[in-house]
Amino acid sequence: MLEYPATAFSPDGSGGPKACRLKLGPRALQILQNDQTTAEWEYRSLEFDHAGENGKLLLITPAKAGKSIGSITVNNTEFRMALSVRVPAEQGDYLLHFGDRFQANVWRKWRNLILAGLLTALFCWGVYWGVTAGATAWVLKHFSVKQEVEWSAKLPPSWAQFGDPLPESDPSTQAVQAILDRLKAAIPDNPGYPFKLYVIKNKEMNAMALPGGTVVVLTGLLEQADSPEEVAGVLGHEMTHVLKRHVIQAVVHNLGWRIWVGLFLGSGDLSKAADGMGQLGELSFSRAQEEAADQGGAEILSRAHLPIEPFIGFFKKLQSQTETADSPFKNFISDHPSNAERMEKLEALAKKLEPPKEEPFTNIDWASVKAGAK
Amino acid sequence: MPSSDIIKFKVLFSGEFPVVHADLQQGHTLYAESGSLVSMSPNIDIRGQMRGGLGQSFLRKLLTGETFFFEKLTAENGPGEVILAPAPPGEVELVEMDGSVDYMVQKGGFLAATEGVVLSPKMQNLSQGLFSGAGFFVARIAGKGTMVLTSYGAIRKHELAAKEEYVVSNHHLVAWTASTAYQTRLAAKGLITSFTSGQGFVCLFKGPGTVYTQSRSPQALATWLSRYMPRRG
Repeated sequence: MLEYPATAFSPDGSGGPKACRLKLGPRALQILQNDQTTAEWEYRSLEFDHAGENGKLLLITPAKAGKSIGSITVNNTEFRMALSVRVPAEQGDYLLHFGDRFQANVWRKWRNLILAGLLTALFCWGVYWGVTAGATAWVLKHFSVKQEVEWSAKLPPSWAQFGDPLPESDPSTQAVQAILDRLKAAIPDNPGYPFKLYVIKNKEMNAMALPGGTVVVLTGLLEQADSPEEVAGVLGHEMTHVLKRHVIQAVVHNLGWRIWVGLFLGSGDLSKAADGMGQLGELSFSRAQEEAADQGGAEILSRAHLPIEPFIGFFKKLQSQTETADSPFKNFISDHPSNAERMEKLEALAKKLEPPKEEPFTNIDWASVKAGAK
Repeated sequence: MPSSDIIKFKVLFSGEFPVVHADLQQGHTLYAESGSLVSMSPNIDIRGQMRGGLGQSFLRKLLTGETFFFEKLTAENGPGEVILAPAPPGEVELVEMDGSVDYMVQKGGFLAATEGVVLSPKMQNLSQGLFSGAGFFVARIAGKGTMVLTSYGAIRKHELAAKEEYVVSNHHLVAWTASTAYQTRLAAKGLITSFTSGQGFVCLFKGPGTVYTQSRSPQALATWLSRYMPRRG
C-alpha cells in the first residue's frame, strides 16, 4: 500500500510540526509515525481546508480530534486524487478542484504584483514628466538667454571627454569657423548666443550643441564630409537646437532624470546629480525637436544662400553607413526619426525653400581640410 | 562520514547576550552567517562559501538580506567546538527540522544551520510584501537538520492548532512555518484609527504551525535612536 509524506500537528499545536506518513486504509486514513500507526481517521469524518501560503497545502482534520494528532497538512496531488474517491461525494469534489483554487491564488498573486509594478512605473513616469515639463516651462520663462550663456561659461568643459580642441590657427578650425560665421550672419533674430566653436581631433563622426550656444565639431565629421556645404547643414541643425532652446530643455530633463534615479537608488547627495549634467552624450532631443532642428537648419542655409542638397547628401551618407542597423522598428525604439525619414522631409522642404541665389563656399580648400582632419 | 544532523548544540548565557555552542565530531559541517564566529577549536577549518552557487547566493543577498558568503565550519582533523553569536542583542532558538515542513525567516533572522538545511529566497504576495514589514522576499529554510534563529530581544514560540488565528505586529515577526497561512491587515478598524494607534499593519496567522516572535522591534529602536542622532546644520 502506498504511503504519502505529510506533516502532523497536535490538537493544540504544541510540540510543533512532526513528520508522518499517510496510508489509505479500506475504511479509514491511517497516520504513521516511526513505522507505527498512531491514528486512524474514518473517511466520512474528515474535514478539509486550504493551509499555508496561497492555500497550497491540504489541511485534514477529523470531526473529533484525536489525543496525539489534531491535524495534518499534505501537499501531494496523487494522494488528493486517491482520497477523493474514498470520501463522500461533496468532499471528493472539493479535493478534485483543490489545485484549481490554489492555482487561482498563485495567478492572483502574480497578476497583482505585475499590475502594481506597472502602475508604480506609470505613476513614476507621470510624475517625472509632469515635474520636468513644469521645470522646463519655468526655466524657459525665467532663465534668459543671457543668463544661460553666463551660467554655461561656469560649467566644466564637457567636450574635453572627446579630446583637446585644435588651436584657432589650425586650418580645420579656420574652415569651420568661416562656415559658422556665414551661418551666424544669416540669423537676424539671434537672441544673443555667441556660438563659440571647438573643433576636436576625434575619429567619431559627430557634432554637438551645448548649453550657452557652444558648438563642438569632431574632425571625424570633416573627414567624412565631401564639401563645406555638408558641414554647414550639420552646423545649421545644431545651431537651431540652441536657438530653439532645445539644449537647455535637454539639460532640465537630464537633471530631472538624475534626481529621479538618485531618489530611487538612494544615492543620497542630490547635489551630485547636477555634476556633469551637461555631458554631451547624455543630452538627447525628442523626435519633434530633431525634426524642428532639421527644418530650422535648412532655413538658415537658405538665408545664407547655401544649397540644401549637400545637407541631404550628408544624411544619405549616414543612411548608407547605418543601413544594416536601420530596421522597420527603429522609429519605435528611438526618439529620433530615421535618416530615411529625415531625408524625405528635408527634400520636401528643399522644394519649398527657393534660395534667391546659391553662393557656395569658394574660399575654402576642402580637400586640404579633409586631409588635415585625418 | 557522520551525519551532520547530530551536531550537538547548546545555548550558553541565555538572555540578552547568548552564544551558540556547537560540538562537532570529525567530518561535521556547520554553515553560519558571515561574521558570527566568536571562537573555535584550532582543528576546525573555516572558509567562506556561497551555498547554492553564484546566482543563488546573489539572489539570497539581494532579496533576503542574508549574507552572500556563509562561513563553512568543518571539523576536519578530529572533534572540536564552535561558538557563534548573532549581531543584535537577543535570544537564539534552536529549531530541529525533520524535513516535514519549511520555515520562512525574516531578514537577519537566520544565524546558522547544519549541512542538510537549505536556504533560498521566497517571494511574498503584494500585500505581504508591502505591509508585512518582511519585504517582498523572505528566506525559505528547508531540509533536515538543525537551524539556529536569532532575534532582537527575547524570542517566543507560538504554536497554533488547526485554524487557530493569531495576530503579530509586523516588526516583531521572526519566522513561521510554511504550513501557516498569513495575511496582512490593518491593526484597528479603519485606516486612521490604525495609524493613530501606532500599529499600522499587522500579520494575521492561521494555523496549524509555529510562529516565532521577538520581544523588541529593530525598527522601533532605529526610530527611538534617530531622535538622539546629531543632525547636520
